[in-house]
Amino acid sequence: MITTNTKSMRGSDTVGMYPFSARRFFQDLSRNDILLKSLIAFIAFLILSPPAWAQQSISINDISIGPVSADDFVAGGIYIQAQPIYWESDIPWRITVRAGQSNLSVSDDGTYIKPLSDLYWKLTDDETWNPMTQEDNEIEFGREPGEGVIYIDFVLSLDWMRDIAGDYGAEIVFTIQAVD
Amino acid sequence: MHRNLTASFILVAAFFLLVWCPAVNAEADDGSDMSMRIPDVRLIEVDPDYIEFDPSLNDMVSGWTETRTITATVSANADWVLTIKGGSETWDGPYMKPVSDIYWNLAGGDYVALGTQNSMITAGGLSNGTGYDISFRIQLDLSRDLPGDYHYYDVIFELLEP
Repeated sequence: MITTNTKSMRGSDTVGMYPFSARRFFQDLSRNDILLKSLIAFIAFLILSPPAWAQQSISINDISIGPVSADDFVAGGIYIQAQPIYWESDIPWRITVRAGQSNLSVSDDGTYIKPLSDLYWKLTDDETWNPMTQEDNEIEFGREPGEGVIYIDFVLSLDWMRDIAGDYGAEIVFTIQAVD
Repeated sequence: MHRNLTASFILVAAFFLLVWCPAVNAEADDGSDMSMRIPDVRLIEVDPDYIEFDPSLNDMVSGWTETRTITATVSANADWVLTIKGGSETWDGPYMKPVSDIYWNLAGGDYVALGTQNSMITAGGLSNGTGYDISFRIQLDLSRDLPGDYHYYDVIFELLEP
């Protein structure tokens, strides 16, 4: 018989409360088929699901671009080359990129919002530029655990007729995830 | 019975918690703040960057050379004023031919004598390679212009903030 000391539980309702007993637990376990099956399933899950303790990390530096020049406008945009993204994973992995906001901020006078669609990215070794969006876009994936670095280029397009003075930018979010 | 249910509930809850753990643990992210400053940017390009006059006898009599035209191409992400001025008061040559013997006009407008102070040619706003034709002619004077080669350096065009 398990009793509770209701005097020490001021202000509490003691109904249904009891101290945990390992001995009682295993006695119950041996008598209760559902409980036993649950425990077996639980242990099996622990054994068969290593991703539960997977370690993944990713890091990239901030990108500060100097004042835009006339040459950048003439070139049609400002190019940021070979930004390293450091990753580490002990399971199969994929890396995605997305923008943390819907635009590239507002001009000094508040009359112009530079659109997110002015920002593109690509793997340094690739040829194709991809528009930056707020959705996760896969950059790279790998079946082999380990660590490494991948390089990514950005271009911010510039237009004489739109891009008036201002401080522009965005947070670019890189995510490393498990591959299913 | 009550205790069995509670224990079962704890196990089932632990099970489902762990089922969701892979999604929680096996993911990491990092944000990179990308920032840039776009200032007011103004660009002018002049073509050709050298013009030559070859006055004839008729030109000397009429008092004017033929005209030569250059194109000033303006690009800017801000308002601008296009100005012109001479870099020196006189030509290099057999005598001190004054800068004011150089006349310019914009797209068939009135001719204006060049000086060493800025004169406004035209003004505008956001522009992407807009061309402006600027013509020049030189005033001649048989009583002053000694024979020889004359050079005038640095007719200066500037694209300025209004």
